[in-house]
Amino acid sequence: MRKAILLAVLTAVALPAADDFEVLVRSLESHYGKRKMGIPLMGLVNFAVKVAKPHGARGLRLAIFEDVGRHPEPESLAKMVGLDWKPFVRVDGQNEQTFIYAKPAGKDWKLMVATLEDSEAVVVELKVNPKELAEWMEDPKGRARGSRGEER
Amino acid sequence: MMRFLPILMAAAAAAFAQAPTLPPEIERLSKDARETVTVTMDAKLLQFAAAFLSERNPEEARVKKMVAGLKNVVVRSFEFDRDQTYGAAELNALRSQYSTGGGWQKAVEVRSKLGENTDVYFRPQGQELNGLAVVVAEPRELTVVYVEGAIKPEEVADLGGHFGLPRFGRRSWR
Repeated sequence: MRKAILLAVLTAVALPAADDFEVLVRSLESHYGKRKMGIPLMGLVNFAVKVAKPHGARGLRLAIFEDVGRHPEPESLAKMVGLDWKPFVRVDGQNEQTFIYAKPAGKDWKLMVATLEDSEAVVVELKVNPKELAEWMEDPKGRARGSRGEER
Repeated sequence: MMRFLPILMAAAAAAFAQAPTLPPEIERLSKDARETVTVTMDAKLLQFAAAFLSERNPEEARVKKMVAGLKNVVVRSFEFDRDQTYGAAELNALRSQYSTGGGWQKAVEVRSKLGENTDVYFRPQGQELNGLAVVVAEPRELTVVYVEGAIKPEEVADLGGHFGLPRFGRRSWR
């Protein structure tokens, strides 16, 4: 019995930390009862982002859910994202909501952007350099709008 | 248990970093607002960003120094499609939050014929302030800013225009 407990503890310690983006995507898949959309050429997009680093962004990851039903409540979404992510910006529009969470990642910060509108949900994780994060903080409202493709 | 300690600590820190809740009259405005924006920045986020403010630029250098003492900045903004979506009752409920105890004092009141009215409240602690609240009421927009942390009164104007805060009328603050 002690060996089993020890093994369980060692396994838990040895396992890599859960990937927050994948955990969120799986949680949303479970909530909506459907898989995320397959995005052709996502690898190419990531490569382009890696090379061009638009606005300092790197490590872009994207998941899209289409034709979904009721979106998770904000409190549930926060739990899905993870309690170690700091709520940074929240925009409540008439037909859509955007939630941006931030988390330090070494010398950089990660941003998790979840946009929920009508029957669609889009989740983006990106890594920004410190300068870019500072720019986000200088104009959080404008950047949040920009992340939704609106004019700032 | 130790594995969960950082998560518990982060959750506790997040719980303590909450700004004071807005009166129900104001929270209800979300239903009529075209857009409601909430920006939350804790000390870690603020200080990280402040590290990139230039020491050579006098204004940025002042902001950088001031941010070192801040614990929390929260901005709530409601935007409406038409004028008069909110009225005196809602505004009074909001303003009374800062005038009925809690150590707040009204420091600045700006009234404009165009309906752009600003109230600034300080929470003094010794020679410094440990809180600042700004209520900016415009015909189609209502913004509430809450700043927690050590602030020198003479530095307040420098904070305007940064971190999503409205730019304050510098002359009226000095």
